[in-house]
Amino acid sequence: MTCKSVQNNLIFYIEKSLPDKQLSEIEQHLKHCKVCAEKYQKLLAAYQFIESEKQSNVNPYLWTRIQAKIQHKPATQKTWQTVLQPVILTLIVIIGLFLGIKLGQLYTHPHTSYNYAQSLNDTTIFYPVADNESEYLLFEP
Amino acid sequence: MDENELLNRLKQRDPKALQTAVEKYSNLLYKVAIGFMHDKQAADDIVQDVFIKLWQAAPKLNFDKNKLSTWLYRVTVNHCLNQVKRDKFKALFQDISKFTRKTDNGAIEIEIEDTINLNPHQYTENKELGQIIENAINNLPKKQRIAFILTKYRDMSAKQAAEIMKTSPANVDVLVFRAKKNLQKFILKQLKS
Ligand SMILES: [Zn+2]
Repeated sequence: MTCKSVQNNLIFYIEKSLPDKQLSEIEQHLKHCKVCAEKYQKLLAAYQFIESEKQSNVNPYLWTRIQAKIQHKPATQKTWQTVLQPVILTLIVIIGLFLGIKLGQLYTHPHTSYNYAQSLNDTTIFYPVADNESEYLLFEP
Repeated sequence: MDENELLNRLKQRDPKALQTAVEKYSNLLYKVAIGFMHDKQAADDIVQDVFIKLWQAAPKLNFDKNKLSTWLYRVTVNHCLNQVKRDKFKALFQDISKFTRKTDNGAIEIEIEDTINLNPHQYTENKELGQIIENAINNLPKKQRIAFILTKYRDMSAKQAAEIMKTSPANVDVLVFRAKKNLQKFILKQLKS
């Protein structure tokens, strides 16, 4: 067996995944060839390192750590809707309050020069402001 | 509890089911993660993230042919690949910053490599060997790397690895064979010096 063919198959020799005949040929070669034997030792050490990595196990406290994580994090992640919902609700309440005050003023002062159409014109002033505000909030962090 | 029952209970957000999944799969996933990460802490973190992902994704998960375990292995592999990529990127910048230095007037000066003495004898032999193996595995083409880690570190059959990799068992055998040839070449080359 040539050095080249031995060196090409060292990894399979270590794994013993070659036919018996080939295994014993390599074994014989390694007994007499210093160069190949040295390469074999190096590759064997590397492969043993992989075996040692394989022997390690997961952290025994993994479940405790995971438990802590899932308890601190709410099951559903916060979306824009859930963040914005209270903001929009508050805005609606404020608009409602202003409208209420305006309309209330109309009723408590029946002799003012406002007619119904005018009062509508006044109240509509609040709509674009409110709309702009809510649009702006959509892009708030 | 079989995989289907486990998944159903996970969908109902039963923490006991998650605990069962952790007990059943964490060490198996860890073997895969250590094959990619070569660092205990990093591998633990990967496995932890996979189970948190499972907890979050469970209500949306539906398996017909693919099993829960297949999903877990795939998520683990993807997470590891991403993490290795991120670590590489980070290491690149650390390397650059190792060679760069801010002067008093704020300019960035690049030092000549010689001045930074990376003495190989500072490392223990084992650490050096570990680094060589990590580099050798990370240097493998992606599919060879996955096939090698699943079969070597997790002792998976070619059939199971093929299911996870969405390929045939024969192809897994070919990938593993090529991976071993490449590892042998890389390791012997590195250990020569
Ligand atoms: Zn020889």
